Amino acid sequence: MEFTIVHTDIKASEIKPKESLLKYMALTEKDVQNLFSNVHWSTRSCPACKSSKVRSEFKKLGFDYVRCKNCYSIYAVKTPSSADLERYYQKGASRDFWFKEIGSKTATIRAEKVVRPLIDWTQRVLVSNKVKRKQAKIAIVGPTDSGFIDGWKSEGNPLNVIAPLFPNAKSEDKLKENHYDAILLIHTLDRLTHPAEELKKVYYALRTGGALLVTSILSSGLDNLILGRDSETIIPPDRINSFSYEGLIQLIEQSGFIVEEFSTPGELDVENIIRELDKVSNGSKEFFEYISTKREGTSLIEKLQDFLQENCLSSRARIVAIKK
Amino acid sequence: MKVGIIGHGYMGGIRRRVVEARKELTLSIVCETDLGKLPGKGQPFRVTRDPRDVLNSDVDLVFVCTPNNLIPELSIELMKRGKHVFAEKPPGRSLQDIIDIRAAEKNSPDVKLMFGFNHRYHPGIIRAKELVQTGRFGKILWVRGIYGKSGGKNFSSSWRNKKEISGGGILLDQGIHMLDLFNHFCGDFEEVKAFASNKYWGFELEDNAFVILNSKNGPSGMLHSSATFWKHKFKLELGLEKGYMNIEGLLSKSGSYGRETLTVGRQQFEDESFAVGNPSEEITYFDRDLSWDIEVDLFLDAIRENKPVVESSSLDALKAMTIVDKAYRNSGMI
Repeated sequence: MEFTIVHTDIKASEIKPKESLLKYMALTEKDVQNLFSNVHWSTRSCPACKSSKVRSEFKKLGFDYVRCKNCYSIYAVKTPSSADLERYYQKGASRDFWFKEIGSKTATIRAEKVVRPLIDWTQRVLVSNKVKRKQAKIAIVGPTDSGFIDGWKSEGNPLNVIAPLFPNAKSEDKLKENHYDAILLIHTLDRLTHPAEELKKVYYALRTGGALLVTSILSSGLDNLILGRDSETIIPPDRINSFSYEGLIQLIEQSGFIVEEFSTPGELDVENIIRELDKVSNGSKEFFEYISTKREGTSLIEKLQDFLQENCLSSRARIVAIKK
Repeated sequence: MKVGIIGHGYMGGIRRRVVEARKELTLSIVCETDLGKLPGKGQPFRVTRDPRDVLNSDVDLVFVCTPNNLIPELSIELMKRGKHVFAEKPPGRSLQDIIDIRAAEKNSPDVKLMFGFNHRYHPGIIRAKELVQTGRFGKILWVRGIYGKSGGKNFSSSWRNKKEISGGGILLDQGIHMLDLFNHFCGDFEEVKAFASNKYWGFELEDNAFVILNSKNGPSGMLHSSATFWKHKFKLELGLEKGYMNIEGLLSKSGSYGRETLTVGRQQFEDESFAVGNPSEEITYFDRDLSWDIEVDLFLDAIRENKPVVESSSLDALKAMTIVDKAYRNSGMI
């Protein structure tokens, strides 16, 4: 499988300022109490491989995360219903805070270092699939706050459908069957209680040869493996799934796709760990403490992050799969 | 379709594998004059040492995988007999050879002719071409290529170093791939300057060639083609208005040119020194080389659908040989 490593020289503080992140988490904790205390929570098997063999991993903001013993994915074993989660996205104070405080204040750097590479990637996939950009039939399924939609449309690129993350949400349109050249799921699978169901819909909506483009967090990425509960990439209820490399491939391929590219172009694993060094357990802590102090100013951290990218061990995934 | 192969050396072996993997093709006859390279006994196809057996056979298409001196005559004779021809590069020993081949092609309008400029179909090249076509990086300003090997196994005794067989040295043998890629990305170059030397191997043909190209209204280019590169190297660099692309390494059976990667970077205008040293880049690593299949599939598509060969055509061969000819003349090799 081909893969790509990415260097944008992005810094964690540029897109997730520490203080803002702490406030966001505090607000999220309140939202969980306010919105989910009196609702029904359902138990799930692994959303990637459907196994029920799990071990307890950590509890975070009221959600119990387990690790699938089969595919190594991490997921919230009990979740509110999709309708209740939808209320969080629509009414949660933490979501409002994210947009106004974090999203808008980091918009410029995100546009340059996060959104533009995504746009380049999407355009490249269209060309690889012999699709003319202006005539492309493209849908994006999932959160509409990634900045990608605005960036994509601002370049005059077509975007036919913006399907909602949750079925009861106000919908602009529905996915048509056997129709699209490409469908994007940008950090969507991480948020769904039943991602396999959504992937099936996407499969039927794509034309034969159409491309599925997925971005996701990865539990098999280094910062998630080392930091676990303290990782900034898993903040429920926004991230109820963190698939492993193996789990994500299995999920996508069992939905009928063939995975052609799997990259982990994350640039922040090592930096995230160093940022949270006081929370890292002994054994790992000494290593990261050493490289961040004694080898500061060398290219070691960059090279270590490159190693993670080259071996699909970073915590961000970028996947192209084709409907055959 | 029935298929014949003339020449069962390294390239003939590759073409044979591709043919045998396709249900729509039946390998009917293989010709090889070298006893040591003949296919073993008990094959489901006819084996012969006489190319005339292939010429006179009922095959529909033929892969011509012979030394350079035999390619023009065989290609022309095959086309006269109504057989489609896929010939290896270079298309002969000289510019005149491809001119003659094209004349024969014109007189045989029902046959398809394609040349083995295989590098066009390598994943890094395909991807770079796709990216250029998006227009997001602007126009190509310049290209630069390094294609070097150490000579190869039994290089001293290879037919490639005998002028009467090969027609030229490393530039014609291997550098022509890079020149074809230059044309593939940039179109035609009007001006060609070159130096060529044979300071190491001491053959009558060059073991190093340095070629500079220019098009008045388009990109400029530079190529180093070498048979004295002790670590094999393939590198194609494209400088564009808004970024750059570097294809390095080449997926191959031996892996001697390293893993094939494509680095894509954007022009940045922050602090100039910062941007020059550390621009945003994406490096893609490829692990599957489908080039042999892709080019044969293109050839078969042209035959099946009776449409022109537009990639690796005789015109592409002519353009590449024109540059080689100008380079040899300018460098004094001819």
